[in-house]
Amino acid sequence: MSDGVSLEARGLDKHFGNLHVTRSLDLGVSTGRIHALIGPNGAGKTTALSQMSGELRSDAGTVHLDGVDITDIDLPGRVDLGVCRSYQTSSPFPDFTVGENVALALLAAEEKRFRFFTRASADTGRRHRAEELLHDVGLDVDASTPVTALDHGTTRQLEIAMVLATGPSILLLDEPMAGLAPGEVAMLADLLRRLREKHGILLVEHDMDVVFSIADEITVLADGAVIATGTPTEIREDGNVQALYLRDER
Amino acid sequence: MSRIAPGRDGIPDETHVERTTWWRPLLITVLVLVLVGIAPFLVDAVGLGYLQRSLTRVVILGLAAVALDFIVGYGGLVSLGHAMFLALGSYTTGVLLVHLSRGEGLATGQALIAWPLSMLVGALFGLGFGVLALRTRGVYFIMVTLAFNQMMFFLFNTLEPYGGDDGVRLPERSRLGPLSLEADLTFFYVCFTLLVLTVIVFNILIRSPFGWVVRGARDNELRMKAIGARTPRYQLAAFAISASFASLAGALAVNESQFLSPDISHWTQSGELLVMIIVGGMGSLIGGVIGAGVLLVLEELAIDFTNNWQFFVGIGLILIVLVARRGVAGLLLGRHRNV
Ligand SMILES: Nc1ncnc2c1ncn2[C@@H]1O[C@H](COP(=O)(O)OP(=O)(O)O)[C@@H](O)[C@H]1O
Ligand SMILES: [Mg+2]
Repeated sequence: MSDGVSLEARGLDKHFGNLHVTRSLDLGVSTGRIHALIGPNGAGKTTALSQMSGELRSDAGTVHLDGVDITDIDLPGRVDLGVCRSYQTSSPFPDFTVGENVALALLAAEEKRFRFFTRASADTGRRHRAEELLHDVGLDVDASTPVTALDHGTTRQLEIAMVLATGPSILLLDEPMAGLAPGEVAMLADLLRRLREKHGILLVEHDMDVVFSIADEITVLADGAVIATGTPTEIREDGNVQALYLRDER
Repeated sequence: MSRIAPGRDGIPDETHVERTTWWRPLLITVLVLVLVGIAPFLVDAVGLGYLQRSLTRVVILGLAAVALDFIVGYGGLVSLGHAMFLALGSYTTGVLLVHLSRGEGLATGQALIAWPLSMLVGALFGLGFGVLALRTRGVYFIMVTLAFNQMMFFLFNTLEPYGGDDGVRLPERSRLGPLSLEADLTFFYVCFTLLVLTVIVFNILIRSPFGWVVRGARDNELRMKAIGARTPRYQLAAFAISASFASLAGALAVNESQFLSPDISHWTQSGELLVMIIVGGMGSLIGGVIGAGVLLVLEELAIDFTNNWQFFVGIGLILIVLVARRGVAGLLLGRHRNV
């Protein structure tokens, strides 16, 4: 497709007990593209994203990064390879400041051996990179702000800065805009457009206006199975999608 | 760039809640240590000189509690197995002393050999048990460490060459280089010096990149993995380090009592260490020392007044935890981040 990096799932399957949550799912994303994964609550979007990020083992199917099978590589291992996910619920580390949260993501991703005796906060290079990342995502609060003092919108920005800190080429974002005010959504959408230049983004999102305006490709999940995949225009006109999903939403 | 939350920098008003300044935990740490350091003279001055040896016990158990707080308060891994690491230190150092008193070859009373060796044994067992225990988390981790502790307890009780369940008296203490530790005051200050070093080491560790990952994993291990950290390795290393310092405390304890006994490995000793850090303030390091001191004072007070002292110690502990949910250190520090 493009000459960047591509992450691809082939025939993923997942059961939770009797519940068949992912049904032979094929899904791919590559640099320069935003691939939106939509579907009603409980459709299995988060589960699919967890399988692609290495957090959940699949019952069947494979995940490939640039054609290389990475199915057996775990969550931190895939971060090393440049695949990093965010979570539907914000979960910054409450014990650390805004800047330290980003610095923690920087050092967690780069740390290849234990360093016991240096002060983590004394690394000015890392501190500056953390501040740059905060600036990049448009979070202009003082880096020494306690993370617990951020409101919901700014916490969502911090989450993206932490994902970027791991140096990923593929971002797996789980409802990054959930709960944001309209103005905040628009700005985050701008950010994702900018990030698309150098990253591939798999975006789980409920806000249909955003999805249809920024996605290059949309896949619709229902009960763990793909019911449609295509460009926004194709999806908008797809009878199945309108019947099964969009009508309820609107 | 534009910022997302319009107005007020996206920061709600609580931002300006008082936060402890960075030096306050350090100040309290230093004050507590100074107080412990001059305690032998204080108790003498008020005619309580008989407390001298109890003070040494406070220092030794405080050292173990600081090590335990590292894995519990900063690592989020509640270990009910630290008594076995105390015992491993006691037996390593004690066994060497027993053989020395029997005039046998490789035995040594040299602390510079025996104590580091105790720490090494503690670290190795910490690695071994840690690998297995860290397959679980939460309540299961508590149960697994407790199970290992009981296993070791029974093992120590069957060590017939060293008195089995009766234990064995040690005729002399370790020697530290050329320094005799037979004088209680000398021994106190050796233990105190090691306590200070331990507090310094763990304060450095919690601020290191290693410590950041351990602390992050306490709050959200999955998230820590999702930003690339292989958390189990960090937790295993943290567990072994904590075990190693607990074994150092064990080596000191057997010198204090001059009695090598499996009793120190009883699981209630693990529980007592936990109570110390809960009372003193979990996630503060120095809280372990405070807790050890509080427990001793409560015991001394209660023993003087009643035979049912354990009951009253229990009541006292409940009161402290009710008044101060983050322990005594929490009271002194106010709202604080565990940096
Ligand atoms: N760990 C789990 N154990 C059991 N069931 C789960 C688990 N995670 C998700 N599920 C179930 O799988 C289905 C899909 O969940 P999820 O992937 O979170 O959906 P979505 O993100 O699309 O809302 C839901 O019915 C949910 O209840
Ligand atoms: Mg979801």
